[in-house]
Amino acid sequence: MYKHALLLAFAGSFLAACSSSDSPLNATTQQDITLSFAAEANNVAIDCDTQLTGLGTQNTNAELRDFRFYLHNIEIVDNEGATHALNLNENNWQTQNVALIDFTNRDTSCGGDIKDTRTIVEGSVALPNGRRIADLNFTIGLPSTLNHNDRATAPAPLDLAGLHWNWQNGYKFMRLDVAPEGGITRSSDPAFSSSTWNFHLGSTGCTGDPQLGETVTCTRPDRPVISLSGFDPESSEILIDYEALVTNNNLQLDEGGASGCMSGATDPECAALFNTLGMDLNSGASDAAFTQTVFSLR
Amino acid sequence: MLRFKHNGPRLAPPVMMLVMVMAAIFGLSACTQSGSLDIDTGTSTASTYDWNIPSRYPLPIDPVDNPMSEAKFELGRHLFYDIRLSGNGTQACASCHIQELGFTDGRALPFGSTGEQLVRNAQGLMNAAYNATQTWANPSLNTLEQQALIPLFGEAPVEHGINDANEAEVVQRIRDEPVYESLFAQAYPDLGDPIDMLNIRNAITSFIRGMVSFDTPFDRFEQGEASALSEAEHRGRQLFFSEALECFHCHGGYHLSDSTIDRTMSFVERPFHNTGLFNIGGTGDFPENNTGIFEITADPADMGKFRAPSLRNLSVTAPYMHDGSMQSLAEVIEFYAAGGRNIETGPQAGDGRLNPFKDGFVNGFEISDQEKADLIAFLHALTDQSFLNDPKFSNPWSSAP
Repeated sequence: MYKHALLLAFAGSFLAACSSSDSPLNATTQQDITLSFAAEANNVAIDCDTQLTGLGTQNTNAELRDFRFYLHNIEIVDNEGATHALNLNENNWQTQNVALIDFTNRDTSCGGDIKDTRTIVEGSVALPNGRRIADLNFTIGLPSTLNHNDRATAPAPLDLAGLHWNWQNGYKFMRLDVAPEGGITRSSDPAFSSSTWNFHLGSTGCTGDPQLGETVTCTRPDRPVISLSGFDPESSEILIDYEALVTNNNLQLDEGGASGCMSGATDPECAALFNTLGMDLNSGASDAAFTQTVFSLR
Repeated sequence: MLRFKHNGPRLAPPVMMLVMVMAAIFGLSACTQSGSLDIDTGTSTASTYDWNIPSRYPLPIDPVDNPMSEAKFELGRHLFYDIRLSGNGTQACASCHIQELGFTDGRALPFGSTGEQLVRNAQGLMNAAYNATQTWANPSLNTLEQQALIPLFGEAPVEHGINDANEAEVVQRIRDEPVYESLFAQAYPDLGDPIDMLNIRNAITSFIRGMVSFDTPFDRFEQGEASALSEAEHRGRQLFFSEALECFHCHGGYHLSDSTIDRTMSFVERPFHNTGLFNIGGTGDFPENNTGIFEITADPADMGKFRAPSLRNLSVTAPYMHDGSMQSLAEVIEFYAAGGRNIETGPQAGDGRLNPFKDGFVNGFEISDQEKADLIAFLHALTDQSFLNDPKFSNPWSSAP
């Protein structure tokens, strides 16, 4: 059901005469590409109406509350290792080369009416003639140039209240929230109780005032860079495995900070999540010491 | 170095940066010639808005993308007092910011529209336009425009409870109120259909920006009216500004806070201080859900650091501190005299006086009962009765909307 549209512009061979470059060595062909995403946990497709089972260290069952993320800096890698930017179409789900992926098929934290989801990214790439597509790279989140804009004036899909993180002066790059069966407790605090185990990824430690002409900078960018080898736009599906994300976490327990992880650098739940995304929690950056296991191709 | 462009065409940030660099290279004359506002005299304004601020005080920043106007202020006033501006239609800004209480709510900790209790005391809003950062402790939040989105849309905790699912409904409620049609039209005369969340937010921030308070006995005294302070208040003033008590280091200047920004300033500081309220386990920790700017920066040295609030209208804004944990000014003075708070038992036990991240000016002092009474008298002289009773800031709805 998540089949991939590859609208190869065969026009390349016909349009060669129109190319701005006369040199065949520099000739490129504009190729439309659709990336298709699937989200699963233990082989169960993720949506608001399906119970997720066997999550984390305690094999917890949970219901979905939110499952959305932004991605940008999408690159096609050709068979000679050169990278080519995927230029995204402008629509309600994509703007300024940022795309939103959304598996939350009901509003009001999965408790409300059926709403649209978005599981594809549509764009085009200028691929040198004679090269073929080999790999895919993308970065989770928004680039820093867009992360600190005013949501009240931002175009879709950057205008969502649920993904704007006013407190951190930026966006939630990734918002994956579940309600574990039996709730969440804290061993050090019998009074603690929470119903949702949240994962909110976003840049933290941001300072600087745009109104004063200052550039906003963040001590922890928290943008995982994902590289997937063997990408075939015609047949590859990009799988997000929620169980792989939380595999080392106990979803019935929260030992400190926000319930789950809201990117707090000292939140005890964050390190394991960051590591499965290939990031170091302290630096907030992708780190070769950790291999991301959440995204894969199939 | 001047940083604000108040008149003339609006510059995109890169252009702005270039102007600043050019100004640095060629000296300030280049900057003033380019049309940027120079040192404020109390009469020049970015807009024609009359701030009603005594000429000895600098004017607040008037943002180029949301300039002040009387019409926007008046619209914002209506919205500030409108409970329809919440997800479930039960809470207005004014629910937790009550004029006669200096726009605080009198509680230790306020409640959001869905009943969730917040972890920080509701702050007074007077002169919020002069805060270098907004809220108790967030170095990321520099403007009222950024700040306003937090109570309106915040999820942790929920305050007004507006979200993606109910935002359109909330805006529709505003559209359905006939009073707003002309208010929006006057506030945004160039826009065909101005009733949206952006313009709602901007009008509320204009109202809050316009909540200026400078009519206190202290202000009159500083302007040369010697009789404005009683003898006790005058003695209290001398204590307040003494090196023995050190109050003024964090609560100095016309804003009575070292976190101050106005349009005359060339360099903005955004300080935060740990005053020794906690030292859980002796490691300097504050309660885990209320760690000050450490929450934002994760820098261990930032544990327990909060913005020093302005002390204006202090006499009506009890309880005190970021967590509302002190009931009276006498208690606050005793706390600073002790150089911190020693909590002897319970889960928060620890001697705050020994907090390793405590500010260097909170060292404790000796104070007699007479001096304490004098200091409290002075703090009461920071009360602006005309602000607290000014109909300009009052509820404009004749009956609850």
